[in-house]
This record gives sequence, C-alpha cells and structure tokens, in this order.
Amino acid sequence: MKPTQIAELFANTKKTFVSFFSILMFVALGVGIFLGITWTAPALHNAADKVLDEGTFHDIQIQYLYGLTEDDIDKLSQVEGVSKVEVARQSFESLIIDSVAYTVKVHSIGNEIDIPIVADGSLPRGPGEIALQKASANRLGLGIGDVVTFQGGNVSPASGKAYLVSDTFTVTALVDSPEYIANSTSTFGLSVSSSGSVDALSWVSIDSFDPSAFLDAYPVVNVRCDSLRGLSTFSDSYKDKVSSIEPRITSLGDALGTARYDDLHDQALGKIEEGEGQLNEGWATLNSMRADAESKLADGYRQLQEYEALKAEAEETIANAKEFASLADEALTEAEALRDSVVNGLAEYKAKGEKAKDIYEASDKTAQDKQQYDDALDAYGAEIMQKIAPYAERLERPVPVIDHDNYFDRITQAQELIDDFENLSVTYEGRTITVHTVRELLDEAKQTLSDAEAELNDKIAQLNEGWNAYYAARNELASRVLDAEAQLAEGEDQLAAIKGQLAAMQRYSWTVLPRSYNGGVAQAVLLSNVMGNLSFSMAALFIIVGLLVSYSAVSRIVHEQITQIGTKKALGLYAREITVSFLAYSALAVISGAIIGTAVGVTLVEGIIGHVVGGMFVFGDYAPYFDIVSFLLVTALELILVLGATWLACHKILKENAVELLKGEKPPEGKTRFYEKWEVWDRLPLLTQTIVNNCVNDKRRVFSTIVGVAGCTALIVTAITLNNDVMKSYDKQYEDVYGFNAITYMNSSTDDALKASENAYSELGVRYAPVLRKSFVVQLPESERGTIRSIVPLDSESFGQLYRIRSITDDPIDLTKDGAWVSQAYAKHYGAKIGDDIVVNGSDGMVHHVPILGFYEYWLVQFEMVMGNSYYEKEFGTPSANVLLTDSGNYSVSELREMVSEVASIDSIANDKLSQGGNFKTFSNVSTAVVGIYLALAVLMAMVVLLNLNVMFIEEKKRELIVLMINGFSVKDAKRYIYNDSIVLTAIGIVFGLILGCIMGSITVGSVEPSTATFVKSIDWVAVVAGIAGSAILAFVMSAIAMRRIPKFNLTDINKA
Amino acid sequence: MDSSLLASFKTIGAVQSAISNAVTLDEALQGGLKAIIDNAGAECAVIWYADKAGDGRLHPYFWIGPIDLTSKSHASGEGSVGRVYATQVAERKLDFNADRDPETVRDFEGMRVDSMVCVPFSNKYEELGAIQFVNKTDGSLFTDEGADVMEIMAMMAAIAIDENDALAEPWQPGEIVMSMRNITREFQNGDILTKVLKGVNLDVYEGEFLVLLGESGCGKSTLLNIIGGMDKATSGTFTYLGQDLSNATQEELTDFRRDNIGFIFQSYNLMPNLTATQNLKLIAELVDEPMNADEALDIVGLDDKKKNYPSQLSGGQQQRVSIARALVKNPRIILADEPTAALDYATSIEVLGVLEEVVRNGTTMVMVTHNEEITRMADRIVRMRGGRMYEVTVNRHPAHATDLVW
Repeated sequence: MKPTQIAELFANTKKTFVSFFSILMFVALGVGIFLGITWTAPALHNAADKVLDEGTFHDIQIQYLYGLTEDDIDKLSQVEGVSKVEVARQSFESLIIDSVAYTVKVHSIGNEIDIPIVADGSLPRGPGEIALQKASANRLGLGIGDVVTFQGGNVSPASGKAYLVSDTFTVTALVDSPEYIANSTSTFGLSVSSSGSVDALSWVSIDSFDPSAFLDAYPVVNVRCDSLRGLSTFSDSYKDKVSSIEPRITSLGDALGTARYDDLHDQALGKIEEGEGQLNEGWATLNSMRADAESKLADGYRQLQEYEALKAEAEETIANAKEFASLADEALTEAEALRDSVVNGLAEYKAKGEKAKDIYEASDKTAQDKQQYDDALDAYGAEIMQKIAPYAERLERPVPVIDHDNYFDRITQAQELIDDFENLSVTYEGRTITVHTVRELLDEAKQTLSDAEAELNDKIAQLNEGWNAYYAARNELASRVLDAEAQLAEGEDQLAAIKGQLAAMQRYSWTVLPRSYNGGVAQAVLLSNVMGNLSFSMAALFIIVGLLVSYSAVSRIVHEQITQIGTKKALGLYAREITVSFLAYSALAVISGAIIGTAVGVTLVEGIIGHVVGGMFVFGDYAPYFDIVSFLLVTALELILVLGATWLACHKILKENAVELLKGEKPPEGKTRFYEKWEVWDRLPLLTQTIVNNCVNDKRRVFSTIVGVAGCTALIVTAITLNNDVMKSYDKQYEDVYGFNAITYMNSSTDDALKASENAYSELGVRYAPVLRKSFVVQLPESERGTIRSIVPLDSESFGQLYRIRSITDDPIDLTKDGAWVSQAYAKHYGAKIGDDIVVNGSDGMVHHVPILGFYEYWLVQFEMVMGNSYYEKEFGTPSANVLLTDSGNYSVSELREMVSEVASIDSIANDKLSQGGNFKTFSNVSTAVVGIYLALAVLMAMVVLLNLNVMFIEEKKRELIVLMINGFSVKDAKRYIYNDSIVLTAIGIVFGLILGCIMGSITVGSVEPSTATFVKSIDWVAVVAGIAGSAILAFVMSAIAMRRIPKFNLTDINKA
Repeated sequence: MDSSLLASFKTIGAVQSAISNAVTLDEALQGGLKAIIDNAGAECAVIWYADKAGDGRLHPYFWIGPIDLTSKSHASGEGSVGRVYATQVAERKLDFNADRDPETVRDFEGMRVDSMVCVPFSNKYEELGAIQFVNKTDGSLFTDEGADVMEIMAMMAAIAIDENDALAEPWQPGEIVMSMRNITREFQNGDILTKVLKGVNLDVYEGEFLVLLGESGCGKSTLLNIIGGMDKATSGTFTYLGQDLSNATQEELTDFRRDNIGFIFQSYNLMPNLTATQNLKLIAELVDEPMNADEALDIVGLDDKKKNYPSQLSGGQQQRVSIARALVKNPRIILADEPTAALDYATSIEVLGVLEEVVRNGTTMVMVTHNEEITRMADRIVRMRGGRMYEVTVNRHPAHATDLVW
C-alpha cells in the first residue's frame, strides 16, 4: 500500500470507528475467550508441575496386593529407565473427633520420592509424630501440637497385626503432598474402611509401621525416571516416554508377581496343612479328654449311688427307731398315766372311803347306814382291784381283795403293790433299768436317735452336693466339649475358607500406575479437558458472530462509500486495489483485536478461571500462560476468516462499473410482495405494515440484529443452563432417585449391630434400608482404571422405598438375576451394552467379571452398580449390611447423629447429600466462573452487536427520521418508529437465541461432564426466562443508548445529500 | 475627464441600457434600480409608488436590499418618503440622524441606517412616488455627487414609464403569518465561525407563493430551515402568527412543524419501505384533521400509484408523493426546498403545476430554488446574497407553471 492509501486507511478507521471497533471487539472476544480458556489448561499444568516437581512426585507407582520383596525392589531398580526406587507403606486408620469418625490415610514419608512439602512445622522424625495435610488439618480442626489417637489400630488381615506400632501421634507439621494436589477428598482414593472414603491424609516416618504387618513386603513402591525430568506431566512427550518405561516394569511385574504369588501360595498351602494337622490333633485331644472325663464322672456316679443306698438304709433305721421310740414313749406315757391314775385313784378312793366313813360315823349308824357304808366301800374296793389287777399280774401276785372290811388296809396294800411294781428292774446292756428309769432311758434313746438323724442329714447334704458336683462336672464337660468342637469346626471352616480363597487366589501382576492415574493429576486433566471443550464451544460462537459482524460492518462501509469507490474506479484504480484497502482495514482490526483479545485472555479470562480452578488445588491461584505460536495461529485463522468475510462483503459491489457506483447507493428495491395482496394486509395497522416491510427490506440489518440478540440470549441461556443443569443433576438424584439423604455406618457387619441400629431407628421413626455398600476398583475400557460403588440391598422392600431405581432400558430392574445394574454414565461414556462385563478387582484380590443386566437413572458423579443379594453371594461371598441408607426425615442429619450417639452399633452418620454436593462443587465452581464470563460476554455482545446495529440502523434511518421529525414527529414518535422494529427483531432474535441457547447449553453441559457422570440436559426454564429478560433488557438498554442520538439530530442535515 | 464624472456617465449609461433592454415595465424598473445601486454602491434602494387608485399612500413597489418592506407604506408628507413625494424635492441625509427621521427608521427596522438619499420619482405626466437609497455597501456615507447621480438616474427610470404604461396595482398581501427580524445564523466549526445569515428581515404572508432565490451558499436553505422550525436563529426574532418562536424549545418547534408546516424536499425523502399511501398516512396520523391520503394522492395525480413503493415510481412521481405528503396534514405553510432540482424539465413542470394548484387553493408556499425561471410563478421573490436579503420583488403577474421555460 502506498503512503496515501495508508493515510486513507487510518482516516477511514477513524471515521468508521464504531464498525472498526465492532470487528476488533469480536476478534478480541473470539481470540481472548479461545486463548484465555485454552491457556487455562497449560497454566494449570504448569502450576501442577511445579508442585509435583517440588515434592519429587513419583513417575510411576507400583501397587501390589501381595507386596514387593526386597529382591523385587532390587530387580525393579535395574529396569532400564528407572532411576530411583523407594518403598512406601500406608494404612487406613479411624480417628474420632466430636463423635464423628474420619478415615485417615497414613503414609510413610518418602525420603527421595513423594516428599511432603512442609507448610508449617517440621516433618516427623520418628514414631509418635505425624504430619497432617494442611487442608485435612483444617477440615478436622487440628493443628501442630495436637495429639491424635487412632481407634484400635487397623489390623492386617494377612498377618493379623496392626499396621502401626503406635496408635497415638503428635502433630508436628502441616504439609501438602505432590500425591494429592487436588483439594477434593474424592481424589484421595479409596479406603478399606466401611465408608470406602478417605477423609484426611497424614504422613509418619516409615518406622512407625510394623513391617511384619505387611508380611515384610511393600505394597506400594514409587519410581522416578531421570529421563522424564524437564517434561511436563501433561505433555505428550512425557506420556510417550512413560509409555516406553511402563511396559518394562509391567513385564517385570508379571514375572515377579507370579513368583511372589507362587511363594505366598506355597506358604499358604503349608500353613493350611499345618492347620489341618493342628485341627486333627485338636480333635484327638478333645476325644481323649472327653473319654477320661466321662469315666471319672461314671465313678463318681457310682459312688454317689452307694451313698444313696446307705442313706436309704440309715433313714429306714432311724425311722424304725423313731417309730419304736414313739411307741415306747406312747406306752410309757400310757403306763405313767395309768400309774398316775391308779395312784391318784387310790388316794381318791381312800378319800372316798374316808368320806363314806365320815358320813357313816356321822350317821345314825344304823344297819342300813352300815350297809350303805359297806356297799360303798365294796364298790370302791372292786374298782381299786380292777385298777391294780395289771400290776398284780405283772408282779405275778394275787390281786388283794378289797372290801368293806379291809378297805383302808388293803388300799395301803395296793399302794405297796404299785410301789413294788415300780421298783421292778431289768438289766439291759449292763445297765439296770427300773420302771423309774425307763423314762430317762427313753429320753436318752430319743436323744441318740435325734443325733443320729442330724448326722444322717449332714450326710444326705453331702450326698446332694456330691450329686450337684457330679452334674456340674457333667455339664461342664458337655460345654467344654461343645466349645472345643465349635472351635475346631470353626478352624475347619476357616481352613476350608482359606482353602477356597487359596484355590481362587489369582496369579496377577503388579499394578503399574503412571502419574495419569493419580487423583490430583486426573482432576487437572479433567478440568483441562472441560476447559478445552468449553473454549471451542465458546470461541465458535464468537467467531461466527464476529464473522457476521465483520461482514455486516464492512458491507455497511462499502455501501456508505459506494460513491467514493465509484470515483476511485473512475479515476483509474483497479477493483483489487480498492479491495486491498478494505482488506487492510479488516486486517488492522483483526490484528489489533487479536492483540487486545490475547491481553484480555491472559489477564481476565485466565485470571477468573484460574482463580476458580486454582481454588480446587493446593496451589491456589496460579500464573497465567502465554504462547506466541498459538497466538499467531489463532490470529492467522481469524485473519483468514475475517478477510474472507470482508472480501465477500465488498467483491460484488466492486465488480460494478464506475458509472453505476457513482450514482450512489440504490434505494431498496420496492416491490409488492405476495402478502401485500392478501386482504388481511390492508387491515393491519400502518405500524405493523411498516415493521414488516422494514424487516423484509433490510435483510442485512434484520439478520445481524437477530444474530446479535440470538447470540446474547444464547449466551445467557447457555450460562444459566450450564449452572442449573449441573446442580439439577444433583437435585434430581436426591428428589427422583434417592429417597435417603444420609448413610449410617455401623461399627460391624454383624446381625446384632444391624438389629441394634434398626431398633434405634424404628424407635425414632426414621426410615432406613440395610445395604452392603462397597467400592471396587474397576478396569474400564481403553485400559483405564476407575472405581465403582456397588450396592447390594439386603431388604428389598425398604430398599425399594429409599432407592427408586429406574431402568433406562426396556428391561425392568430385576435384582434376582445374575449380574449388575449399572449407572447410566457407564453406558454413555464407555459405550457399554447389556451383556457386556464389568471387570471388577474384588477386595479379595480376585478379578470378577460382572455381567451388565441393564442401566439405570443415576445423576451423581461416580459409577455405581446395584447387584442382587443372591448374585453377590455367588460372586463375592455372603453379603452383610455395613450401612443403612437413611432418610433422616423430619430431623436434620446432625440432630439424628446426636439422637443416636448412645447407640453403640452406629459408628457414624454421613450427610450423603451434603458430601455428594461437594463433588458437584468442582463443576459448579467452573460453571459459575464460566457463567460469569458468559454473562459478561453477553453484555459485551449486546454492547458491541446491538449497540452497533442500533447505531447503524439509526444512522441509516437518520434521513427518514429527520424527514419525519421535520414533518412533526416528536422525538418520542421518532424513537417509537425505530423501537417498534427493534422490539420485533429482538423478539425474533430471542426466539432463535432460546433455541440456540438450549442446544448450546446441552452441548456445554455435556462438555463439562466427567466420564463418571451424566448431567441433566434439559430445557431450563429459569435460563429461558433469564435469557428472555436479560436480552430484552440489554436490547432495550442498547437501543435506548443508541437512540440518545435521535434528539441530537440536526434537522438541517436533511439538506446534505 | 474627471474620473468621477466618467463613472457617473457610465452609471447613467448602465441604467439607460437596463431600462431599454427590459421587456416589461417591471423589468425596466428592476433593471434600472439594480444598475443604480450597483453603480452607486448603495446597500438598499426602494421605489415607493403612490397608490392613487387605492389608499393614496406610498407603497414599496420594488426594492433591493436586506429588508422586507412589503407591508410598509407612507402617507404623502409623512417621513422622508412622504415629504419627497409631496414636495418633489429630494432629501439628502448623508449622515443620517435617526431621531429626525423615525419613519425611515421604522421602515428599515432590522438594519441600521447610516446614510440616506430620497429622490422624487415622477415622469412628465405625474408624480409617481419616491426612490429611496439607504447606506453604502462599503460603509461610507453618500456624497452630494452621488446624490446628484441618483436623482438623474431616478428621472431616467421614471422616464421609462410613458403615458401608456402604468405601474400595476400595489400588491395586496394577506396577513403576515411569519415575521423575521434581524435573523442571523452562525456556525462554529472548530476555530472558524461561519456567518451564514447576517440579518434577515422577512415577512411571509398568508396565501403567497414566496420564492427564495440565490446562489449556492447564500443562506436561502438556512433561512428555510429557520422558517420551518428545523433550525433556530443565532439571534433575531422569529414569530409565527404573533407567537415568538425565537427561543422555542425543540418540543415547541416540533409542535409548530407538526401543526403548521408541510415539507417538500429536493430528494423527496420518502420512506423507501412504505407505499405511496403509507408514506402519507404515516404523516397524516400526526394531526387531528388530516386530508384523506388517497385524496391527497388524487390531487397530485397519483390515484393509480397509491400502492407503489418509492422505488416503483419515477422521480416526478416521487416528488408528487412528497407534495401529497406535505399536503395531507392540511398545513398552513408548505416549505419546498429545490423541489425540482433533481428532476428533468418536463417532470419539473409537472411538479410545479401541482404546486401551483396547491397555492391556488390557498396554501402558503415558501420555495427555495436557484432556478430563476421558477420565480415567474411566485408572488414574491426574495433574492439572497451573502447571507442577506438582497432583493425582494413582488411579482404582480405570476406565470403558470406551463409557461415556464428553461
């Protein structure tokens, strides 16, 4: 270009600055957005690389369930490409703070690889000291100097020993680790605890671990490769180089893994045999001891039986003696009574005789009196004789005859007879026994008998004790035998189970994990991909609109300068020379725009996104990225596109000859259109007719305005759809799929724990469903690895109430079938089909091929599968509930937690809804930043496109407006004349924008979707309303700003041609 | 020979030539007066003519200068003009004293009078009136020699009226609808101040066809803009039916235009997206009692083109639509800015015919044109030069459009 042409270029630029600025702005937006978002990834990579390098992060990590031996490590060190090898140990411990259980992953501190980066304090130097991840410490409310005590200590199932030599540690440092650059706990990996999640990270010196718990091997070994130094973890060259080293390690792992397996297998077989021997011995010992004990018991029984016989005999003797004594006592008592009655009778009769005598003496002593007196004595005498007759008989004497003659004498005689009788004596066992001593003797005998009986009772008591002892011994024997038998049976079962496990024990090799498998690195890659996808979808919009704007602006300039172009042609300039001036104009705008856009991209876009994304990583905000090659490429692309649009805009007119051009711009072609022949047309208000014809005649403006409004609306709709749909997925899961909001972890998987927990919830009226909830490592297609959470319902009724599992295929969910129902994202992102297998690494170290039965609606950011009870049992072993899916109902989770704090069986209650919300935070954070940018751009677009178009439109209509105003249109009328068109075009633009926005929203939501999730992609009515309102307001504001020119119109400009 | 004498002879010769070459008496007087003021270097010259058949007063018959005297008149003996007519003796107020001649001051309201010469205007038969010269263009005062020449020239002009000729009846204008006094309009462009109008004094009369004529840049369009309320004067007074619009707000000016003014533009300025009828309706809707749009189109002879878009009409047809658009509001005044400039002769005559009809129907028309021939249709012609009114001519015999030739 010649100097004058350059001068004209700048003069033109100045004159048409609004158009120039429009092109510049859109180029700047396209370039700024594209490069800004695209460079977010390398900027993030650089920041991540910095931390990885600082902590000398491993290039490859080897994980092996059976552990690497020292020999293995030696061999690994010799692999080509491997520069440094360092062993590591780790365990998962439980820490309870304020009644909430946290799973803490404890690592050994690397000396040369994976060195924690100290933020505060100093690294642990020996047992009893621990460093906590800075973010974890904040989360748990712990600081340097605090003492943490792990609950019980996690025990190795293989060795039966606790991994840590001590449970109590003092926090000495707060650190970050290259192994965990992302803040989200979901990147911390899986624990073997009931919840499967890792809540906090910590590091201790390696001697804090008990090597024997790890069978003196190392389940984790880290590798560094010097050849990778200087390369970004995220670069292709890094991946390529790692790919060349990785197979060598894998190959070694195959061989050593097999050997290690064989060794362990043999060791296990030996131990099984040993166990079998011990069991057999146990049985023998049991049988022998039981026989001996039973024999002793039989002896005791016999002895007791003998005592029983003696007891019976003694009891009989004593009973007889007692009977005899009783009879004797009775007889003696009777005899004594008789004697007493005789003695008393004698005295009585004597008294009666004397009384009769007194009566006689006192009488007249007549015969009759005498006779009566004698008769009385005779009668008394007969009675006495009768009484004493037994005594006489015993004394073998005659019974003295007592009559009235000898009455008183013979009474004395009778008394003597009785005395004689009582003086009778016998000698018994050397003792002389008289009637007088019989009673004494009898009493003595009775006393003896009583003593004997007491002695017998003692003996009987002793006998009973003997029996009790016998039965106790017999019971104890039975019990001990049962225990021993149970122990032995258990041993047999265990042995059988071990045999089964051993039989199923697979010969698999080392798991060789390059950096890309690290959670933090994967998170960075995920976000980079999201940004990459966003940058294209966003930039595409701005490039398209930018091209339209460029076309429209240049077209307008060309039309405005049509006479000048004609003059130039008339003066002898070639069309190509004039074209060059327009191309130079656009090129200047593009180059300026690209430079400004790049500056905006680096500072603003990278700044905003970097701030949000950085917040998800330990390094926070990070430095922006700039790359001259990308800048030049994008600028070149923009140049090609915009220059193409410019050429399109001007080449047709430049083909016209000078004479035609000199006539100036032709007025729009007026012709009667088909609709004007309709009857209804004439009935339409003039305003409507004007609007329709204006729109039909000014297609360029109509198109550009519609594109502008549509773009603005689409941006708003896209932004809000993105934001809402991500969170809508979360809401949908908890409204449509999950009927629970919390997960109750029980402290054991026993029936008792389940029952106790169930009882507690039943009392509170809280709904629950017992399930086995467990995470597995899953081998994804394309050699990827991931995790999948399995759910095994143990009570289908309660499960059905709290988990509305809905098939997205034709097959209804049937949990009785063999296989698993899988979350929909798995089908979407890996193209999995019904009948395919999911390859799951079981916690038993086995690889399980689980057939896919179908897919179900699931919106959370993770893979999940649901298996039936029976299938799980068949494939993985008997399932037992480890958690209760819990609907806290009217209670908040924290209230519920407090209410069941005394229930021993409940370990903890996780607010699942809240914690899952954290997973969405990553995406909502990104989407919030993007929403902000989108909305800012919507405003910019409105400003640039709508304002420009409105200004252009008003400029184009200026003459018409002035004519109208001259004819008496007020400013308000004139504005309305313009505004009516704008309203219609805005409305049409909004309609197109809504459609475009919904489509773009869906695409954008899809672009931020991680492989583990499917986000809701629906028409978001809030976004639609916001799109309509936002665009309408922006259109109104921009129109109002543009129309501020109308009152300033100089009506005398009408004279200017 | 004395150079001043020679100049006087030359002037007299020029006047004689102008008179003798004139076809009509008016042309003779006009040409003669022009020759006089050109040679005398006068700013303003007025032929006052006594309306003996009418009110007997002296009316301005013809004048050249930046002042509109149309409505002025003097009784015999009143003021300088009246006295000169009555006494037939010239008055020379070479260094004019305003206090002594308030009538002249009143006549020339809007311009300062520094020097004045008034000479009798009579032929051999009768006293016709007086010829008044005001100010010299170079700012100097008239001299006695100059005044002598003026008297001679006045006599020569009067001689042109022989016994058979008689000056037409004085023009009887309608009432004044618009009045402008000492209107100036300046434009500031950076450091440069451009004075487009330098003091215009003009009245517009009801029902007249007033043509503003002048070279490009003389200020005629600017004046039309001010008349139409599209622009405001930098200074001066502008009244419409007695209402002072000098300091009117834009809203008031809009109302003024809406209710009173119709516009016809050189480039038609029709709404390209509206049909002929729609173009009219758009404007008709602004007023309470508009003319029917179809009727307006009928008036301009476009009854068969009502649904045509501007691009479907010829230039003349478009201008007719433009006229119809101006008419449709039933405005009191129609302003036309070079309405035929973009048209060929035949089409121009068509359009002028329509305008003639409009004026005949009583509408006041102010037209800006640079086409001298069109002035023949006008009732009055205001010639402008250098931002001032240079000459105001009353055309007592307006021609028909069809009579025009160029």
